[in-house]
Amino acid sequence: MTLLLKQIFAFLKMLNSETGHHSLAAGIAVGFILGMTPMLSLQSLLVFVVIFLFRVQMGAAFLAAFFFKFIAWILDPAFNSVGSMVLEMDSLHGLFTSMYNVPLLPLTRFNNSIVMGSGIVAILLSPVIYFFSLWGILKYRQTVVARFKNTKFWKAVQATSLFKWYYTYDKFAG
Amino acid sequence: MTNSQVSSTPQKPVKKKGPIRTGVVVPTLIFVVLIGVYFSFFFDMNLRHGLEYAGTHVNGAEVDIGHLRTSFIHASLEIGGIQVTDKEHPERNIIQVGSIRFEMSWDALLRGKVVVNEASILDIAALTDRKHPGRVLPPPPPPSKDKPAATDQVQKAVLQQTQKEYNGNFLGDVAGMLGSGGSTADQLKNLQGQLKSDAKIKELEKDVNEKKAKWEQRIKELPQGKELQGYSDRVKALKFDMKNPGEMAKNIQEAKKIVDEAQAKVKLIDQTQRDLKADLGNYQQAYKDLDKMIAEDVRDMQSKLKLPSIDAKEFSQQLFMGMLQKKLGGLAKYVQLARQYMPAKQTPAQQAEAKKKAEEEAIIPPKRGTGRTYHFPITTGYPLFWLKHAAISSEVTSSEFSGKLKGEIKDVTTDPAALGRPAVLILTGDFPKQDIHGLDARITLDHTTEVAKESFVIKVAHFPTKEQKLSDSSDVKLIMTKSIGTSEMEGQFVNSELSMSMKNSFSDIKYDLAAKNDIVKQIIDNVLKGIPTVMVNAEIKGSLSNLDIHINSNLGEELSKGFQKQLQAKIDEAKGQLKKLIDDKIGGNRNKLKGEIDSMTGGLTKEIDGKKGAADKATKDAQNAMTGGQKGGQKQLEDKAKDLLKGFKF
Repeated sequence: MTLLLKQIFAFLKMLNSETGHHSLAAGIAVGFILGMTPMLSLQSLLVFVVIFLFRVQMGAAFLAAFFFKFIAWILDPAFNSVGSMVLEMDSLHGLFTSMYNVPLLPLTRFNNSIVMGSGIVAILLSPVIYFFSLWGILKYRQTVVARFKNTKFWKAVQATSLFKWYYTYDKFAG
Repeated sequence: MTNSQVSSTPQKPVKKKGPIRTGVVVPTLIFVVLIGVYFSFFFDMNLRHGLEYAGTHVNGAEVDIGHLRTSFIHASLEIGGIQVTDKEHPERNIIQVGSIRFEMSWDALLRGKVVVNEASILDIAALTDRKHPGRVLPPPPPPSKDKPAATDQVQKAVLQQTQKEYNGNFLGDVAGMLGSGGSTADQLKNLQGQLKSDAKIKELEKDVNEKKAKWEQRIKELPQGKELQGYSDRVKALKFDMKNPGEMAKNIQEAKKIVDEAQAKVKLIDQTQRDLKADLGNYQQAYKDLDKMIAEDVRDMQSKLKLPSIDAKEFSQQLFMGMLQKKLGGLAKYVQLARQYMPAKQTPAQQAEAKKKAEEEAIIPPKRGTGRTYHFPITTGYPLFWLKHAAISSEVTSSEFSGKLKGEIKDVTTDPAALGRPAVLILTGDFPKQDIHGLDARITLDHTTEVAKESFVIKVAHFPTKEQKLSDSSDVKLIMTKSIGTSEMEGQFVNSELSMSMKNSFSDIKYDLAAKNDIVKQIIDNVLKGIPTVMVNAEIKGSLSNLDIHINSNLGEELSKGFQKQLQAKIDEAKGQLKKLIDDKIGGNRNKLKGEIDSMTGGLTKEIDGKKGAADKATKDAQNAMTGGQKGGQKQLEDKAKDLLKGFKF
């Protein structure tokens, strides 16, 4: 829990800084895939590996996954339709039969309509989510953060000794 | 200090970071290495302790494992020195196994299935001494009495069947009959109030009278002849005149309405006729069933009067049923157990029931990912568990119960239908120290189709028998204390239908015989001396709830012959009295009931059939009148049209 909170604070900090916008956007895109895919499948494990191995912002990924889980729950009927349509395609029947009989792949539960539907939608939309997040982060920094930093309130806060202590601590503690 | 001052503080040069989180890779590698070290050095030890703990709790007494080795690469497991403590005698093992080795398939493990390609169970020995007494756990609380296990239910059902036909004191009854001097007439007088068939006849008679009154009332309420004729008359009274088309159309509608009404009445009569015939059929059947009930009463009375049958078959049945019923009960129990863990292919009805049950048990809140799951053809799939082949081997050791065994187990699986191969157990060998030789067993469990089928052929060429009580009563005690037996058992279960034959022979027999009556003792003694080898053959057929058991034995035949001369006259006399009592008590009432059922059937059927005929006729008349009227109108129309055409000079 502490680790999770730490990651969420790091996300908020990075969001309001001037760097790491690619890492944040990638985190949101990966979180989108994680949120859309039902848990307890092999691909979820693979997404976790990606989150831990590559430099994507973990807090962003977990917050995005949490948020998109709710969206996915609402979209389940649509995923079911997409998945059923794909799984029932005659041209893909041979491929799916082979996949069904190959080790490990059945553990992805690809033969379930919702897993298949949500997987396709998540993978296809993840680049869109990435670029949209990138644009959104930059826009947020240009408008909200920059404007907030110019407010008298923020300047007053920066002038307090408490902030200076925090600033010094943050510089050393990272 | 201002904001600009804070910003202007000299900062460390920021090292540009690559896309891979190197800070995580190193700890992950360390974690993987630690896991590897654990599985190499500690996992086997922990698994051994875990299995010992689980085994001890399942067995209820200490289970020890000498060594355990797993191999990740070969997906194999080897367990050696297994000792299972005997709960009753903790100083010895109930079973000891030298080693068990499993080699599993990685291909199946990656699919989440356990497939054992090759297994071996070696050096099996029973009742071996332990170095130190095993720990015995306190007994678990007794299982709930409300719902016995399915296996116990099956065993109980079979025992109930055999118990029905088994009188544990048969020879005692024979001796009693031989010793009694009085008539059975007095006993019969006391028993005559207990005839079930008599009570049933009275109940049926009362019921028939009540039903008859009800049916008469119901038939009376049906439409009467005049009412039915009325429908036909009403249609005939309608005019279908083409000169007045408006009135004609109205009358056609009215006629249809009347015909519909008449048809509704016909339907009502039809339904009543069907209900009546069903009711009458039930009574006819109940009357037929009375014969069975009377036969049962005769058997009950015979048993209460302790009238033995001196039929050879009955003698064999009564003497050896006790021996057979234990084997049958055990057999049914193990078949049930095999079906529980190796279920046969489900029939469509079973599948529908299972689906319905699963739906009922489903958690109400919707879960993610519960869309439709598609199944593609399995080309290289596996069942959840599949033991392809296991070799069984054992050599004679110092243990009293060790044996030289050889055998194999093939295709034991949780999904025989998917595998399409039956499970087979083959075992041959001897237990020299127990004087058991020529054991040859082949058991096949075929659960590959919707019809579960188990077949077995078990032969033992030579075995010493334990004490077998053929009769144990105060009048006669006959026990086979010692003998040498041979046995052949062959049979099959198909669903719940059993078909089995058994051939046993016993030689070198030592008997323990005691009887109050000297004549009885002399007869039995003479018979036993004349039979050096006792043959017991049995044929069993039928469902577990209705077994047809035939037991033949030369001992039964000879005993029957021996007692026949002395007993036949007495038994015939008693049976005659019993027959007379039943005829007197039941015969008259039975005939009276028959008369009442026949009279009810005849009277009511005639009445309802008459009504049905009248209703059909009235409906037909009404329909004919309507059709005739319509045709007349049509004719008028055609004539008029012809006149018109003539007027135009066509």
